[in-house]
Amino acid sequence: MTAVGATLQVLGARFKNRASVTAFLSALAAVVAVTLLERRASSLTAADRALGGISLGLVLPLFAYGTVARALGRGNLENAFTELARFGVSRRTAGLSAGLGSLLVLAPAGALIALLAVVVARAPADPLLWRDAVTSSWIGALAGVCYAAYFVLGSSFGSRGGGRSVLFVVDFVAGTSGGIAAVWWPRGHVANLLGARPVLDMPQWSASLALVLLTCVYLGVAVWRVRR
Amino acid sequence: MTLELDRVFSGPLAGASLAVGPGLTVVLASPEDGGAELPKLFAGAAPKSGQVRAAGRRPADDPALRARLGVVLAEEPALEAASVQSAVARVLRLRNDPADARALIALHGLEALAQVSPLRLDSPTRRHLAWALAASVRDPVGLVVHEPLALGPFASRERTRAALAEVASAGLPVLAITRSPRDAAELGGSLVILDQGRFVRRPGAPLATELCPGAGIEVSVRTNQSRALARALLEEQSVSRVTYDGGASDDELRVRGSDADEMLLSLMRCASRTGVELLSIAPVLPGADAIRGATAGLWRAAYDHAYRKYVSQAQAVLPAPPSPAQEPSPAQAREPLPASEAPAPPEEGEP
Repeated sequence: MTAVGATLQVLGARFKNRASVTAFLSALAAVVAVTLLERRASSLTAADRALGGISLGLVLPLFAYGTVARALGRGNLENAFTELARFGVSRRTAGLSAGLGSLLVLAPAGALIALLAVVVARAPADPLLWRDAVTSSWIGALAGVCYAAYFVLGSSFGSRGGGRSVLFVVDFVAGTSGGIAAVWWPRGHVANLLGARPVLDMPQWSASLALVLLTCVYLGVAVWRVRR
Repeated sequence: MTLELDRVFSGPLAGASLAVGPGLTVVLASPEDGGAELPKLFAGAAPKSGQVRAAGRRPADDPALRARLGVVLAEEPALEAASVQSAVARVLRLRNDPADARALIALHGLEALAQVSPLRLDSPTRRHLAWALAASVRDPVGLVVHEPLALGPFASRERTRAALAEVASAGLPVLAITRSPRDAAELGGSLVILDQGRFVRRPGAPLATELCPGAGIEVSVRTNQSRALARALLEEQSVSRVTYDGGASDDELRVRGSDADEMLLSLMRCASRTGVELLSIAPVLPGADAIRGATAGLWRAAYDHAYRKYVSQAQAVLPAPPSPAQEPSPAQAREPLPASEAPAPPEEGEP
């Protein structure tokens, strides 16, 4: 428990700065600005387009990428907590704690990003507003959690965690294919939950399960790759 | 308990092998030779190849072992915490050490920095803090310290040296790495030279002559009449060089000779003859470049010796060259020597 606590302390110190707050506010501002444009183009489909496009399609993966990079000191997962490892903390414990810490940050962040898109896209009198807001929030939270684990896995590759950038591109390219290539990445399943074309015609409920399973697999493989 | 490196390749280290037993071992090496890499390996970095072991276990894979190794790196990263005191308290908690962080900081004279953010500490002070943590390990298996006598303005050379000696005398392996021959001499212990990523030799005592064997000895002499003594020394055959700077250090001159006893006798004789009072005589340790040059020279001499031995063996085994009348045909000349008779040629770099 001491090791987990120490890792979370370091994580807190890394997040507690002006750059983190600025990044989050910039993400929210981008969601608001683009959603307003979508709403101006067509108020009927603005929420769907904003959720699948700017909020959970672009801003959330980017924010998750930045958050994980900051959590790991812009380095590799194995070397991210050298200062603790020197004093007897297992790097695996530190890596898992950092991964779970990132999940805890990105779940509410994802929920907020999705919620904001819905609230801005729909008129206050819209009867679907609250139902959509609640549904989109948990989808956003789940997507945030999955992306956090996904980028933690990416950070276990490369001496400076360069695998993060590779996985970011892979998710963008392969995740939108809708075929077998999209099964392994979060994007297709998040889109399925939002009502877009399902991956391999999987039912919508299975997308949630897929995201949970992928989160566990990403995190498990990432931690397994780290030396003790 | 031992600290071991077995054919380690990592950064500048190129096949470094060393076993450090109980007591103090000083490694004379610059960071470019791999001096800065050694503490990193004992702090848990994995080498590219080879084995790093402490008490028979590998620090890279053993968190419990890392907790019992005191390490000071060449460049210490800033501890990520709100203050120095909270960072030290966290480390003590991780080690299950009930010691008081404030007391530990005060013990090393850093109490003025207790509430300062570790990010604001300069590099030497960060190393001093790392030394405070390394020296306070309970039940340690070893100590690896880079430049122990250069721990910043708050550290005392005497106290650090005494602390290292105390740990070494308790039967633990202590590895101190320094690039300064003077610091190496001051630290004492057994000396190993790390040159271009390999441990190349263990000079004995006295270091003034053994660091550069065959290069003679140079002493620094303080007198009240340097000019007169320098003039007298120039006539002595055992003195090969006298360096006298008539400027700021007017009372000091440096005298070099190939034979230490002869040269010192000449010095005494000259002092007595000229009536000059000798205030002090101290050996001057050679610089890092001279030591590297001496190592290269020793390598070359060893190689040449092995080569000459090989040639003489080959001459003994091969038949005498034929006279012009009995010169063999080209086919006969190309016939190889039986493997059992051919002596193995020396390998480059093998003494």
